[in-house]
Amino acid sequence: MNPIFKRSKVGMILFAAPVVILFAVLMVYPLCQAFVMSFTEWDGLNTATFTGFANYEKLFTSKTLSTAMKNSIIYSLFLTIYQIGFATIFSFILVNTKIKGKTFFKDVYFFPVLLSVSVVAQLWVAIYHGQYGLINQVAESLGFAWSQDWLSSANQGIYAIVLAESWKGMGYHMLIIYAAMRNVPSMYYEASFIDGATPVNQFFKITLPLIVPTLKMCVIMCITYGFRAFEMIYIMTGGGPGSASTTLPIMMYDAMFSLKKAGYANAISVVMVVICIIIMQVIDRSTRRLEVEM
Amino acid sequence: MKKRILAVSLTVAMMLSMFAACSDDTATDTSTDSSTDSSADASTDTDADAGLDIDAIEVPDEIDLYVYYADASIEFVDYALEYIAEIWPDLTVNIEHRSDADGTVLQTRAAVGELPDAFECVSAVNNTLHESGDLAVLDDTIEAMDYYSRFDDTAFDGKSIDGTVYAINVSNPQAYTVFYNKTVLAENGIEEPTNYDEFYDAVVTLDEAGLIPFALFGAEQWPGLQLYDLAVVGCGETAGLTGLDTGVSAITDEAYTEAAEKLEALVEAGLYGSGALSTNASQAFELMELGQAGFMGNGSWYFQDCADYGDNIGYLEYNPFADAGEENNTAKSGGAPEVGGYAASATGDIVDFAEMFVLEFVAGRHAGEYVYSGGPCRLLEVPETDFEMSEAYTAYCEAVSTFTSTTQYAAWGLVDTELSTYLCNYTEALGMGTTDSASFIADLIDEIG
Repeated sequence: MNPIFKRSKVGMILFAAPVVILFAVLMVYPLCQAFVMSFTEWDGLNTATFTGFANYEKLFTSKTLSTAMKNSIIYSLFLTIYQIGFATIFSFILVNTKIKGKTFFKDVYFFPVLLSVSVVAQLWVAIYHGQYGLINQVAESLGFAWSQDWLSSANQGIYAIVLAESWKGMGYHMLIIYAAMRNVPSMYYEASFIDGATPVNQFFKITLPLIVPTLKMCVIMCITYGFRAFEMIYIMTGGGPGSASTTLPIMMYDAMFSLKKAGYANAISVVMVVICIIIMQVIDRSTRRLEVEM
Repeated sequence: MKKRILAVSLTVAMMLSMFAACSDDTATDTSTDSSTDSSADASTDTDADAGLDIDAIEVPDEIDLYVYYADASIEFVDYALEYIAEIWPDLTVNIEHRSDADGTVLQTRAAVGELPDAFECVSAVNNTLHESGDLAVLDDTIEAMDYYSRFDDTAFDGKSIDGTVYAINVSNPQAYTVFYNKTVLAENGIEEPTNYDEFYDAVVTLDEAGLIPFALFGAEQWPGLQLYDLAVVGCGETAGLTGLDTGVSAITDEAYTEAAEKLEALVEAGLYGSGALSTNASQAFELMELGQAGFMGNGSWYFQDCADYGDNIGYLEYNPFADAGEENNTAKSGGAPEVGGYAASATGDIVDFAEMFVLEFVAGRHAGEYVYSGGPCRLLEVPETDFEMSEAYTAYCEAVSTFTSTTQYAAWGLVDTELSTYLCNYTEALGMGTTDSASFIADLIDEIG
């Protein structure tokens, strides 16, 4: 502990207070408010009436919930595998190989992150369009009598969207993992090289264990994002057709702005928060033993 | 000791935070109280307005108007503003473009007490704002201005809630209409369908010709939903989906099942082609106008959008979901009078003037609409126009009086928002072929009973 704080805990409290207050105002208070309102029937404007657990009952008996949960799990897994997988591979190549134009590749991989979600969504809608989409056009020009209505399909829609989302966000994780890999002291590699370790051995025995904390953070971000995913889905399919590509945030939005049921929307948001906290805790605890001190 | 003080302080802070959160009900109650007050104010205002002297109402320097101000509407609104400027030359009108169709922005602004002085709102929001006391009562101003005497007798049908007018607009029936490209149909040997069998055959023929039979702009949910409404009407339930809202019919009624089955059969025959869910309105218009699609569904306002395309766009005069032998079914979908329209804020600073402004704006906008796009004019003093209506539009305007029934636009005209949301979602699934008609009806029974 800093000696200043050892002498005076008032100082410590003073320094921490702004962050604690901000956190309480921006996070704790809205969460508490959402929790309270989740027990009411409210149209967002007129008098709220207490309805007990009715909103939760409605949510857990909703036909859409199972689809939303399934889609969120698909979204989380696909995002994690694609983004962390490719990010790790690209980072490893960029760190450990002597290729020309490293900066160029880094920039190219990171570029989609800089684009706005709506731009990326429209781009991929054009690629997937059943009538004029790039994929179908290419297939047709190659002579394949094969055309898919990607976004209108109940089964393919969510995969098509998450692929676009993964493409957009991969560069962000790549930069984080790249930075973590660069921080691994070179002496470990030198020592292992003398002991006869191959690059593959070095990756699995040195690099990977030492970047576990970073990977863990990326995995948590990917998985929880899967349960918070909204913009890309909303722009590309609106959660449809029907509710085929819906997720909990889309359900929440519909509840708030289509059904005009703010209490129900709050109940969904509370469930989302609980799910994200549980996932975070599970990942944190299950990966703790894998961490290695540098 | 210090630790205890710290712990107690943190606990108290947390409890205060919780109470603050829990006090939302109180806060809501307070706003309700104020809402009730404003309701009371509104009714007091009504009482005070009895024998309203409109000449005594002070004209403010400026007024905020929340209105749809894009596409063809720009001309109509501009015309209305010129009309307003003639009446109140020193008034500045601050236009705020209405960017949503469901009234979310308006409701949010009402919740934080920042309603514009005058605004345009849909039925569902109109009801919510009416309940919260945010809508000024227009009746006395209408009477004081002798407003209705400028229009024909039915121009404002269906505009009141319990006999009181809170929002107003001219009730021109803008029915959901199935348009077709005359050249495309002629080239494929198709005559204008007058019943379901002919419509089905036309869809099959167009699909086999490699064309999109029906250009649906499925990026929006309402066109698909309204086609189902048209199907329900064509199958004999003239109340359409509005009947589910008003309680005169149930989703278990035969017409709803039959309509779903017909729509399912059409979808299987390739009705919408590929990519309909990602197609927006502009793209659908292009498909239609460039001859890549045979049919397209839209409100009758599309007559104005396709004016530049001459007489190549026709419309189905008869319901394409009617059974053979019932070819003269003119029952329409959409366009029935609804309680939405232009309203004045009851909580603003210039309520009396805003009421007058709204009424004059509606008259000016309606005149502008007629001047720039033709159509039925409900003003007794019809303005001059050099707009030439297409053959189809002229025929539509002449046929308006023969419509045997009309329904609401179900995506925004129904009062029950839950009903319209479920209808939107499940009809979209039916249209994209991800559910069948039996599951469609079963799911709706589960959701809405």
